[in-house]
Amino acid sequence: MNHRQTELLELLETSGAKLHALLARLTLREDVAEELMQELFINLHGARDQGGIECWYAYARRTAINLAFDWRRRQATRRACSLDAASERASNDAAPLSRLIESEELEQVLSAIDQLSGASREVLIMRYIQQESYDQIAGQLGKTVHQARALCFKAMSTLRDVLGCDHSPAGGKEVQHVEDE
Amino acid sequence: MSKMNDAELRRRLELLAGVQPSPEATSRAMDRVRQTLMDQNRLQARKSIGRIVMNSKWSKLAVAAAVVIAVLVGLQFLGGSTVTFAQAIQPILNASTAAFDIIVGAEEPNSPVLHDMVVGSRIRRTISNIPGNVSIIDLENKRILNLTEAKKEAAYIDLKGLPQIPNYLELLKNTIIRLQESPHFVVEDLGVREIDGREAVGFLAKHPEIEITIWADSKTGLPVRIEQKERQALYIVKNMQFDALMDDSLFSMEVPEGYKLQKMELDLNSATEADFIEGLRILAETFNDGYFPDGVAVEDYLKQAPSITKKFEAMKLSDEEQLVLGKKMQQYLLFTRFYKGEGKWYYRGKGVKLGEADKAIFWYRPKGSKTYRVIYGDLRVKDVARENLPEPLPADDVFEPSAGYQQWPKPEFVGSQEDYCYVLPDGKVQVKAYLTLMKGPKDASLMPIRLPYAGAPLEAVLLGGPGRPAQDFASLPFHKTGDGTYNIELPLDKLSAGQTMMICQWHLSLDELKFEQGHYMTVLQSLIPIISYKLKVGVDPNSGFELTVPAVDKWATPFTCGAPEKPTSEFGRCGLLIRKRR
Repeated sequence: MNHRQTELLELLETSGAKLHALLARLTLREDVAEELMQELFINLHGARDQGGIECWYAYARRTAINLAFDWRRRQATRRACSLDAASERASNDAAPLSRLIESEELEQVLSAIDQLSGASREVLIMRYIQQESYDQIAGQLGKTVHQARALCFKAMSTLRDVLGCDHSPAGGKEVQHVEDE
Repeated sequence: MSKMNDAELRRRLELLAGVQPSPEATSRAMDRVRQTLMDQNRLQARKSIGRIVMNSKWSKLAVAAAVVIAVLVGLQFLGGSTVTFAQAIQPILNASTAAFDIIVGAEEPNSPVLHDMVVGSRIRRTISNIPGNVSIIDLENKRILNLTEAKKEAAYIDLKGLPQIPNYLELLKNTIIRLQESPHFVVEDLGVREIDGREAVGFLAKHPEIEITIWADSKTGLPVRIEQKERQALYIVKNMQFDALMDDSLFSMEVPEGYKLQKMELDLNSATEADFIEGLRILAETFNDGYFPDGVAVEDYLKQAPSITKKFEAMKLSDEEQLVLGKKMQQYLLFTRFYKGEGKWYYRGKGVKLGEADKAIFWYRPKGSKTYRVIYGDLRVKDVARENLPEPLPADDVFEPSAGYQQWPKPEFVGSQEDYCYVLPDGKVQVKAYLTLMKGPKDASLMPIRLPYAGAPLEAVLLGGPGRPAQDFASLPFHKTGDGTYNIELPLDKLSAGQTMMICQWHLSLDELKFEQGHYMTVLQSLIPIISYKLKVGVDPNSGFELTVPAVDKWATPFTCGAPEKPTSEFGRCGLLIRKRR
């Protein structure tokens, strides 16, 4: 086994569950998450410039986000092209109607997140979907906490615009949404 | 997109954050990654597979590529091009059942043998090097039932792109009759030879698209061996039995009890160059230690099938991964199996390592293309002119193969003709009719012809072989029999030896042609009934005329007609595409 395989096995043991959960959140499908997890590690194994990757987890997270949204786009195209595919997808979910509606709501948000730029998308996912603290985000992005907070605010604001939110205050300040630092 | 307020957005984000895969799912996903990372072979195979298309119908089906493609071997043989000499084929035509072995490619000790049993439109096929696998092919419904006995797995494979074949034996009969009537069809006597310990008489049936050699028992007349060469594929059929009793249950399309059933569809016309390249890449990366395979024909794959299957199993791929890989290999095989290009394809990848950019490994000419596609060792593709190909093309790939001349029981001569009309400085048109003779009445040594213009007498007749230089053509005697009609004396020995190209020459005055709406109109009439006709026109630079369309090699083509329903000599009229120089 070569050095890269060893490194990736370590990453799998320390962060595999977290990455799998991220993929599941972004695809809303366990089976797809499993498949993309394979693809993720294959990609990591074949990644060039291995020496230049300082934090494997951050690199893996970014790749996972890209893979998940790539998949979503392919799905969107397929759904647009084929009614069969759409019905097939719906039939995979045996949940009651309320869960289907909920799933549609989440799909709407994920589609909007996909329209954000790469950096905004990543920071928004870290903060609001992976529920990481500003400290953690700042550490991973090599920014100050203040900068991380600003990035999150800006990303959220863009997301609201994409979704056509009325910006009416509901939950107070950004920082109150998740566990504050 | 409907509007939502901030609270709603936050609620949904929280829902997303709360999505948690089950521990079993996470554990399964991590196990798979762990196994992949720890197994170099699997890692390589998984890389080769590339992205898995989720949700595709394919991802729910499991049939190995080798088996499926093996089943397709020989279907073209059934599909409309089989032919044999009538006497030898008679037992087949009269048979209600048949059984035989097919070898794909040259017969070698390790050649896989396909054993076919045929009843009506159904074939039961087994393959010698894939034991325990049986396929029932239902030609009428274009469906294959594939059974893997050891694993108790069954798969229905619906075939797209297969011609309608209602009944196998009926098809053979119709095909033979149709081909025997074709002017292209020629049969040569190959004499007597010992085949499998029996004295056999051989016949070589030739058609521009196919060559079939049939060896029939000299005493019983029963066929003992058929060799069919079609493009680059060779099929050898042997151990033939007719009218043997066969249990109907052997041909049942019902899935046996206890078998796990899967369904799939296979489009025989769906393979692309990209599929072929992807297959080459996978074979090199995954199955051949970085080297391209020794050959890319179906028979090469069939020989490799057992070792490929073993490697498949050793990789411990998931069902889904196996399916993706299997599908890719199928598409790869279909590219050469149902090759859609012009002429032949050429493979030179044996011994070449993936990535060797300077080595051309495959080239072919797509249909309708003037240039060739050349694939190199690094799998890039370039368009290349014929003269720049890595190797010169063999002679038989440059010209249409000649079917030769054959005497037949019908009273008429049949051929194909190209007329070259050249406008001379004196205002006359020199006409050279290149007539390729294909068929003629038995023992007839005089061929009647009729020129399109009675006032333009026949001046010379030459005979030679297609592709031979003009100086090798010899003059033939001819006699006038009426207004514009002549008899040409035929040297049958030369015709039989392949000298079937005849050049008839006459001169015509432009004044004899009708001039309508600015065009010189000419009658389109061949010397004898023909199956294809082409008219070409050129002008001498000092003739005072010019072509009205761009010329190709100095010639314009005002008229062309190929493959009319039956041989004919009248094609109407057309303008000559010339005008007085401006």
